[in-house]
Amino acid sequence: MLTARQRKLCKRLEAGRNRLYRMAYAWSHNNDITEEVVQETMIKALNSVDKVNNIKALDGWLFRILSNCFIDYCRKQREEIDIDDTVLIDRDTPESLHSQDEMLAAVRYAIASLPFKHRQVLTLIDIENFTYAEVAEIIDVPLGTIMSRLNRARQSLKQILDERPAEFENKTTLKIVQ
Amino acid sequence: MTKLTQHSDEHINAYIDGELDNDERARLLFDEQHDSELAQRISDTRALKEKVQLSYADIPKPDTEQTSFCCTTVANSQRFLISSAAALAILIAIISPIFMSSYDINAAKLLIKNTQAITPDKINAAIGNNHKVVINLSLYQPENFDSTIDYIEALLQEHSTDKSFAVEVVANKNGLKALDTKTSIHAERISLLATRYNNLDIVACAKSMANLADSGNPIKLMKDILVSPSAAEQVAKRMSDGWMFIKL
Repeated sequence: MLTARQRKLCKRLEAGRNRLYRMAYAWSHNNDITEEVVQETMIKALNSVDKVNNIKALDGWLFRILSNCFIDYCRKQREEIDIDDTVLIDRDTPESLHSQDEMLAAVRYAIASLPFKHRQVLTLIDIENFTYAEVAEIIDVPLGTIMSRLNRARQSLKQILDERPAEFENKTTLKIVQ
Repeated sequence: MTKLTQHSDEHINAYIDGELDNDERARLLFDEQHDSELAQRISDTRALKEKVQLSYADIPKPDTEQTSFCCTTVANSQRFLISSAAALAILIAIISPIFMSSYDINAAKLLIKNTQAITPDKINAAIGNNHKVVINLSLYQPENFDSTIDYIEALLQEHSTDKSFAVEVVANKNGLKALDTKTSIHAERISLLATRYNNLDIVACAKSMANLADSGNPIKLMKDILVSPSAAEQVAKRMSDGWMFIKL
């Protein structure tokens, strides 16, 4: 029989899947990459879930696995690219054509334009509401670096949105470039 | 309004992200009310945060539908589809022990490890009068695998009118490679077999999948493959239900 703790873990993992998916999508803007990375994340979580001592730390633990899996995936795909220097650029896609909100499409475009390390911090804090300390633990960098990356991400985002030409709206799907 | 204090962008970020302590928050709140420029910066930053939050609120959802109900389905050995989104596996892994009976997993591990593999042509003789058979597949040798499929198909065909007859193939270790859509040359035949015979289930060991992925050989499972936390757990479950075990 499952212990009460295991039941709790199960519920949390179940609830966490869509969140992982959303985050991986915010990082990649690509369904295939998202599915592959989330699959890998869940398999790794499955094999080490017993190591989780503190249920409250489960979210951070899951997203740390996600982050590592995503970076591993990108490195495997493009060994020559430093993931920290990787930005995404927009391409037309059916998904973007279905967007009903030009502003949000523009925001996605702007987020996609950020370097991955900025995009990652911004999305973990704004979408998942992780604290700075939690994000520092998830991506294993100092707290000051988190604050600095977040600030640069928001400044860039604001600048891109302020300067965006109209034709950038409704273009949100991305391709990795150096 | 006058400008009271210089607040850095990092400080404003920390304010809207709830990272400041009460004293700092109170100070900034006070300044915000007396400094229109600061108020505007805070408002802009907060609006930006809200836009980011909203921009991924309705992203495309994954194809796989999964609820805890799926686990009951697995426990009852009914067929269900699993897509490449193997998140389902983790759910199964956590919940399935609810439905497991008392057969010891360690005993199943020993059984898998120590049972001598038979050649496919011996399957029929080994099964005898048994109606429920769990077959462990831990090796994939493409050059011989056609005959393995042939013998399993012949077995299913022979018992096609026997509704109590069921075969479950539990693939682990290198046997999983037979189920890999990317590399298996038998994926299509296996898929056809699983589609044709409702009394055949094919189960992949999630633990072996993870091991293969770690060693740089990730498996992309075909559709219609069930996933169990481990081969030993699956075999233990079947043994508890009185199934016969053989190893190929």
